[in-house]
Amino acid sequence: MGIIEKGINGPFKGKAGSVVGSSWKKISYIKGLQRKKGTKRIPSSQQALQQQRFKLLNDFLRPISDLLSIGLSPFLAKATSVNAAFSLNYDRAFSDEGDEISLNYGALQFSHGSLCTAGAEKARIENGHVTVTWNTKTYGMGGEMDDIAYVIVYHTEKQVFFSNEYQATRQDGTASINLLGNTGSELHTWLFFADKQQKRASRTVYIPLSTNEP
Amino acid sequence: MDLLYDRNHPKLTEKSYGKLAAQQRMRLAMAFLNPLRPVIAESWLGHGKGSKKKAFGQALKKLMQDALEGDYPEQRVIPERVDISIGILPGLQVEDSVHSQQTLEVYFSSKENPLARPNDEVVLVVYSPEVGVAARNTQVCNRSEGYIKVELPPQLWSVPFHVYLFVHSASRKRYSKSIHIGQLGPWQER
Repeated sequence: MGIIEKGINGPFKGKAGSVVGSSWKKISYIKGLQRKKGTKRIPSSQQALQQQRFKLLNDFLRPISDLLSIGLSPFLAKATSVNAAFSLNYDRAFSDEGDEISLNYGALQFSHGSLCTAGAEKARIENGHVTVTWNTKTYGMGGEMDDIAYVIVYHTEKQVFFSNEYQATRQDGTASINLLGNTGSELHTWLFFADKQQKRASRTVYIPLSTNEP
Repeated sequence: MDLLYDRNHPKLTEKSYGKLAAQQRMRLAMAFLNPLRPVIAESWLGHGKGSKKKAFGQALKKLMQDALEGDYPEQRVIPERVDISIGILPGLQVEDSVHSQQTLEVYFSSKENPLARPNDEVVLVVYSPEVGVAARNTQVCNRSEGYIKVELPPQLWSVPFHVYLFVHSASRKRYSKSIHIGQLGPWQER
């Protein structure tokens, strides 16, 4: 796929023979026409592995695109939120155990920026709710009391995400997520902060879950 | 077809050693200073002609000039040589520091100087570049007090961190050059 910068006649747009010119987010593209179905070569084992990785991470990130657009807002000028998150996570997202490719949940990042993380983050599951707590102090740097906390909980078996219904602030120090009865499986919890204007965000912190249930 | 490539952009060749080295210098400097942006935006403002962005750029330039050592690919930042504030105000002499798990206390003195005012405000900054977390004193402390205390964020309870101290005038127009007190921690119970 070639990119032509604006020349004297401007970027190429539309179909010309076997190529199509278009633009997206102010980036001009030239793409080949779509191939006919069934003409694709069978991928090599390495290509198949790579495709599997792309699919796994993209499928994982797609349902939380709205949250990603908050956490990665400075990177969205020339990318979608899912693409930005994909590029941020690709190098660290996978744990290859033999032939199985799985996500390394502890290393995933849904936000990036100079806002400070809270510290002392804890998560516990109780009565079908995940309760997350954090340190409320800002220590005079890199954070405000009214920063909004975004908590993400992922249910691995049902492959669904849960987030906090009510916006908790840094000052609140706690947020509760209703799992709507979806307990009894592996759960992963992350927390990040964004300022009220949603211009700055903190890094994402993975919080190991402790359980109070038998 | 001429449309498929742009003659003005030749094919990318392998980046030169100098280019890679310069890029690494920039990356290292940026990574070190970025968490300190709120402090630098104030303490370097005089050098940024009123612009926080320019102020940060000036601090970055100074760090790249003075506080980087080694050859590519083993370049590194020397935190002792980093200036997180700059100016003509007389600095302080550190007498002692007391480190507990959650707090850091620093005792200091100040020499007689026509520029030094007793109501100059002292700023103590603790910073760990490894975890990217910094904190400063939240209570106002004056030059005449001789003692300052900062609460440590939980992220710094178990990792080593750097400590910087500087002074600014009550009007926040004049600043002193920061001093690096040292690298402290992680705290261990005796």
